[in-house]
Amino acid sequence: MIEIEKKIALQKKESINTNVDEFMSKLNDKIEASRINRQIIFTSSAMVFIILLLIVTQFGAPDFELDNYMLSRTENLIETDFWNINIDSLENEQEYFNNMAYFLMDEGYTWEAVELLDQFKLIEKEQL
Amino acid sequence: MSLTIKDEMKNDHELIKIFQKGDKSAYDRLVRKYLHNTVGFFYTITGDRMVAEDLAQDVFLKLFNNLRNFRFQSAFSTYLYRINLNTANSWFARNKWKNLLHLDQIINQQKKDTSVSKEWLNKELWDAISKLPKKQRSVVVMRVAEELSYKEISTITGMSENTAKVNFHHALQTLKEVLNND
Repeated sequence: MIEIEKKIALQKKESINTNVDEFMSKLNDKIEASRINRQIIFTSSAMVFIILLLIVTQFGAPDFELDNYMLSRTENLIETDFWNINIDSLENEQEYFNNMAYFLMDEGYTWEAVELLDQFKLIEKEQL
Repeated sequence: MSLTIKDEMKNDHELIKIFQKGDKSAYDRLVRKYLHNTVGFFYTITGDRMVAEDLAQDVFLKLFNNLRNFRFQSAFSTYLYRINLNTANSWFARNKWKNLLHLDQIINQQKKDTSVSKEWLNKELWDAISKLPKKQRSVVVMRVAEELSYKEISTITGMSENTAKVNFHHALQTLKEVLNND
């Protein structure tokens, strides 16, 4: 028999006295730890998924575009920016200026209302 | 009255069915039944009782996590041998890196200095076995540590009996060369 075969033949499965109860106790601890780790991994994965979903869908983010649209719509309707009042607006009837003046008064822009009316009078004079 | 292999297999399968229904005590009975065999298997490989018990714990933990998916297509012992073999292969791979990084140099030196004991010869042999290709190593581990027949090895590893024999023969040749060179 060659040397290596002798060595292998000598390898008998060794029996060692393992404390079964201690082993089972350690094993149960490991199983519990493994269960908790799994739960943590599952919860973390779910949270990461939800966060990614929120980022992708931009849930909860303010819709600036809609706000801007509303602002520009309001400006277009009310024409509160006097330096940008276009000619078409000034060519409207007096009723339009009166309504605008009432609106400005209601909003508390008294001096602007007065200025608007003065401007209207000035335009009327120029037209005459 | 002694139980036949078929009776053993039936008993194991019944215990697994009980465990799959949610009764953990059936799992505990399985562990107690195969505990000494599994620890003994790893002790033969590692030569260290603590490491053997740790590896056995890893095996039973894997078993706990996977036993619900057991399909009753093979004997439980075969299933357990497969887990043992995979765990042993992982340990060999880890140990290879440890040897490579000389982390166990001091321990080796101490063992070498004390005596050329059987323990050292075993260590030398298992170091050589750990360097074998995976297929050869699996066959050698099953033959040496578990004393399994080629038929049983072919069932566990999925290779044919002849392939197992050839792998064992090649492994012996390689081991002979490695150990003679040392």
